Amino acid sequence: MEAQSRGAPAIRLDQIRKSYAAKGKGVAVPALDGIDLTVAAGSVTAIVGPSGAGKSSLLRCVNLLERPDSGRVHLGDLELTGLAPPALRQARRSIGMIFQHFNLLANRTVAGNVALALELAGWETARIGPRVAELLDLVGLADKADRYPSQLSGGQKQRVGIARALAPNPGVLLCDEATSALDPETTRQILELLARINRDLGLTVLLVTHEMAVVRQVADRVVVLESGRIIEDGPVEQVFARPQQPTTRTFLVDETGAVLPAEMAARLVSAPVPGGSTIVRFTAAGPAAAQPLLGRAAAQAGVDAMLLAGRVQPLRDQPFAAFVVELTGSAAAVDHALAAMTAAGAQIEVLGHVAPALRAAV
Amino acid sequence: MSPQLFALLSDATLQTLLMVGVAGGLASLAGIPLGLFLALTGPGDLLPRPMLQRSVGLVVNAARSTPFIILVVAIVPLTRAITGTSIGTAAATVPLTLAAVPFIARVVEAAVREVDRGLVEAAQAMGASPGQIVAKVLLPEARAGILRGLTLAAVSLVGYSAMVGAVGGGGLGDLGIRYGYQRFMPEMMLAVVLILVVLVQLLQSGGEALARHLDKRTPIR
Repeated sequence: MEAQSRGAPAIRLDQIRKSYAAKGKGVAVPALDGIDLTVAAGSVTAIVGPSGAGKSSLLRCVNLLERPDSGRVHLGDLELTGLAPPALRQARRSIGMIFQHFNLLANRTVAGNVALALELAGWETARIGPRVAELLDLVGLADKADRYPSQLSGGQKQRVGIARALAPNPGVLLCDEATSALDPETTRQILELLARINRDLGLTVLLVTHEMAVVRQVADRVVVLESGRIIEDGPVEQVFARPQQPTTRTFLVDETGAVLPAEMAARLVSAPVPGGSTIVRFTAAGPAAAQPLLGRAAAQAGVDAMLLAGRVQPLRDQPFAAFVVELTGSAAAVDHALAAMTAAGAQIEVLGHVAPALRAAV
Repeated sequence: MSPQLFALLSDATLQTLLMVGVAGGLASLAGIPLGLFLALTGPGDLLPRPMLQRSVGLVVNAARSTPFIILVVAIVPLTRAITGTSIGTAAATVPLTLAAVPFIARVVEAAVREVDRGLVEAAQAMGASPGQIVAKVLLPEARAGILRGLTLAAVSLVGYSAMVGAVGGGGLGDLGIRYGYQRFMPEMMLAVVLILVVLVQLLQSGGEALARHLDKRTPIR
């Protein structure tokens, strides 16, 4: 795996299907319904979706902790689904994995837990010690080598999990809800560590999460899963700015904060109201989000703009803006303002219109 | 208490310790692998052999449900074949061992099943073979539970060893029955009971202390 060049496929899934027998009934419930997914080497890909969408099943199919009913899994040039157990065990050593509940051995020290991965991979005892020290240094736990997991915080435990996963020099790291048991600040630190590992070691990261904040902070690409199918897939900036599917939008709105207040949503009408105003959601990523595009467009077109909800936040080191605004003015002026914002790089979604009297009541 | 009686007591104590030690040791040698087998081969386990596992489980249950005193009498021919006699300390060790094997097997099975399934998965994800999972994950993580189970078995063996006294097995139980009961020597009976109480206390606290030392799951200190 080390020889993989950036961009070449590190993982390729072909037509993965998996179903589980439903409890009490004989019918099989499909969990993964024909998934095709290629993950480029050196990328950070996030699989998101509502609970029960099959995210974890999909991730666990990559190292065959779960065997798909049909379909093929490739790691680089190697077809994992075609390997006999000993060859599969060998191949798994080039795929690291970290877990939501860390899965550390309680009766081994921090150093012992990291060493386990190397012992299992058949490393000589003399080489294990230095490698363990190197990894504990990498994850910032050099001073905790002789502690037991029960003496560590959640974030420290996940750092041990990361060190253990990276010990045998894998080319791929699978993260199964790796930050879901951590508080937001610890999550941020762990994600920073993952981003650094991806950058410095060129590791391919495939992660499963239900938190859009995780996607925003580390991922290059986002794959949205629903009912065992991929419903949306693209670069993070594109999916954040132009979500195509309602499920994706619902997921994103919570994260971006651009939610129309409920009392106003109840008063929305679809046709323009004379003397009323237009409610618009707009998003802008990168340089477009760094300029006062709303203010400029409003001034240029002569409309009043009022912010209702939203914020600007970093999306992979770039600003990402998402707002719900109320534009008041003549229909032509509002159109002019929207055209100016589109020209400046914003994505516009007209949510509806409100009557002036009702607007005053809000 | 006369020196003769004291000598009787100390001999009987040694015999009891010998019976419990030998039977416990031999039964652990057989019971730990058997418990591992039961824990690994059930449906959905690491090495599923459900039919075989059920059959072995049935035999284990049958052995456990046989009252000990019946077992002692029922296997006299086996005891004679192994030790050449059916009375005395050596002879008593045979039924004691046989009774302890299924008990130890079940407590070991329970301890191994207590190990978090996530640890097994993590090991599998790291490319561990089933043998490595047993040696490096299941046994080390279950060690405190196994030790507590073995302590329980040793305490039960002390009780059972007193029972074999009733059929001429030697040891403290034998002494209590012959002197304390049949010769009406209540002070002898009391001494036997006291020694048994102390023995069980020592076994229990020693086993628990060692288990605590080996168990790093929760920081106590």
